[in-house]
Amino acid sequence: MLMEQVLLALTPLMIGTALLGVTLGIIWGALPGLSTTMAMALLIGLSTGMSQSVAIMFMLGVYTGSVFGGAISAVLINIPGTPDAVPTMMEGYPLAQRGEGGLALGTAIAASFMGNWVGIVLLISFIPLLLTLALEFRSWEMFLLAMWGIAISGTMASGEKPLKGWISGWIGLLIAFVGLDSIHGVSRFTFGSFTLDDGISYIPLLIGLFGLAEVLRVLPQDSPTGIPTQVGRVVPPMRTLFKYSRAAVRSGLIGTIVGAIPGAGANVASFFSYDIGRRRASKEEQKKWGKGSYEGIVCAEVANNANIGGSMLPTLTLGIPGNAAAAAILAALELKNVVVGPTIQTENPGLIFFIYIGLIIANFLMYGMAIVLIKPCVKLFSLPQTLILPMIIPVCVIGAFAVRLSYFDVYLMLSAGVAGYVLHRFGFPVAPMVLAVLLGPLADENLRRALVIFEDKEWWSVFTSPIGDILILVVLYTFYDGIFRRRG
Amino acid sequence: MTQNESSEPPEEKAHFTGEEGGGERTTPRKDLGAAVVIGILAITAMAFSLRLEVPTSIYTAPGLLPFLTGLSLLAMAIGLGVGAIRDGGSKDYFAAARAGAQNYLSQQEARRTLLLIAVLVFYIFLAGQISFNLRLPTPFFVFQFSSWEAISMPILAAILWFFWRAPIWKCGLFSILMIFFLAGIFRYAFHILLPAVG
Repeated sequence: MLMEQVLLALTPLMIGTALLGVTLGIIWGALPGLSTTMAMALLIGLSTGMSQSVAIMFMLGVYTGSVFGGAISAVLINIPGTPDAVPTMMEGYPLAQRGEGGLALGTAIAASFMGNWVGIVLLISFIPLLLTLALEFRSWEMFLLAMWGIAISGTMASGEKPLKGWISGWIGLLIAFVGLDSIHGVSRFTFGSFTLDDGISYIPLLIGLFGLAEVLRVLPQDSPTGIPTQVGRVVPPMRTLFKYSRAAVRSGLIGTIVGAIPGAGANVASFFSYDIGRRRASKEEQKKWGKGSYEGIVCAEVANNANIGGSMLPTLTLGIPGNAAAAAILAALELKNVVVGPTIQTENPGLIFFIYIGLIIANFLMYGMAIVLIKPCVKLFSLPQTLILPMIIPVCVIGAFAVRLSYFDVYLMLSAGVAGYVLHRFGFPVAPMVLAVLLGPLADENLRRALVIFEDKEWWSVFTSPIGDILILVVLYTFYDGIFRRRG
Repeated sequence: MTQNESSEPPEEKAHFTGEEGGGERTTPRKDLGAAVVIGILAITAMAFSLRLEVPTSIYTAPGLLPFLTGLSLLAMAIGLGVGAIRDGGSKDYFAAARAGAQNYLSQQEARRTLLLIAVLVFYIFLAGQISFNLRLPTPFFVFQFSSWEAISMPILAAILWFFWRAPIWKCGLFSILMIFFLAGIFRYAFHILLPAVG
């Protein structure tokens, strides 16, 4: 089965698709204001016309490329292409000003390559274990897991005010309930509209919240065009990685673990790893942090790229997306009728192997294309955002329409975009809402199934499952930590 | 030892406030307003959940989790509201909210955002009302031109003209090329239907 998937992934069509995805991802990530999640959300539309394998390869390419792409503008114009590239900017831009831009970008490429490998190796190592564990999950545990996913996503997304993250998630749950309920077929919150009976499609929602809302937020700002510093020769210095190998391995582990926590994405990973790296650096190295440290770049870039593999762990094994970008991957998979979760191996034999190989191919292509694309990207930076961002608008419209060929979804995308802008103005994160829309049906169905099982038993029988008990404690701790610890 | 030579790492720059942040954009007054809206939403959701039919037992009732979600959302809205009041969000609320709204509208960026929203609403509404698709066979392929392209070109040109501030002919030319390019990619390369009604 593994060999079949390797041969499938190595066909010219697949390599070409991955190359297209990586190229689009790097360019997208490099352009300031265009985030990884935005790339993923908008390019789902492009994947609707593709076959299952081609679409998966394309989305993995976009994911891998766009996470790295943010480093290019961060180093060269002091504007992070994606939010997770802020630590890279803090260290890379001073280096570029000293004429070491090429070496700084080379370090970022090598670190991203290494980070992806750490993420992939840990993904391959832990998937069998997680799948075995996931098979022990019954309805009650799945319900608790979905609720924990939404709660922790709220905590991780909003940082100082977890309550706002939870509110965003709970609103997402209410959105997820719209439509015919899956057990009795009763219409919920549809107000007599047959269009709403099918429920609210999460792809227009993703496109609106991460695509259009960003355009509404960034386009009206009078952002100056970046003036790139000299790049010089871009050589990924593997020797630098060896010099900082301990920091690289530590950052890879941090990135993967953070990626596996729902809602915690590349931003948390790169900041967390950068902060720990700064504290653990030698006294000599610490003096360079903030003024141009290669170790700082290694810490941030290894972590945000390792995050990709980490985010795929809960996505594939439990159906709980590791972050908003993984939610877009999940949406793309569901669009192709791939049911992820504990039964992924039996329902889609070989798919996991294909994803492993897809990630490896995308990583190699990212390494090569990053070197090739840096100089063209520098030319792109001279284009004003006011020229690039309006182009996103027609892509949002086509993407929202393409999934179900329904113009209602275009209205939905517009509403989500405006709502996303308002939520941003009021300091509410949107990632928990998207995760909740994806996880809502899972939580609803499993809670009701579990309650039927518990119906004829004593009330305390809900505490008889060890995994369920652990999950109850984890959910309670997440709320406790969010309410009390952060207040102090 | 000079300041530059200090071994202390730079603390101030690595400040992180969560995956999306948000704390810096909010005020107690905004939180109080949000809490009221969310509270109303939660109560509405609970009311509609209670009105849903219960085909068998309460345990499998379609409104069970929506009701519980509404109830917990109401508790969160109360929590947000209480916190906002404690931080002084209720002080001269209406006068301050009016001043806040006036302050928002006095910002050029905010006015530009509202204008952009208005243009987008008009664009999407218009594209949802008009539907045609012209097909022109050529020796190589069937060239198509739909209502979506016809509507998108002038709208995109207007947005570019307003935000990019280039000469109108440049904006028009750029939008025509861009829409043809996007339509070509989606329609011919990926066989994806372009937006249309009906």
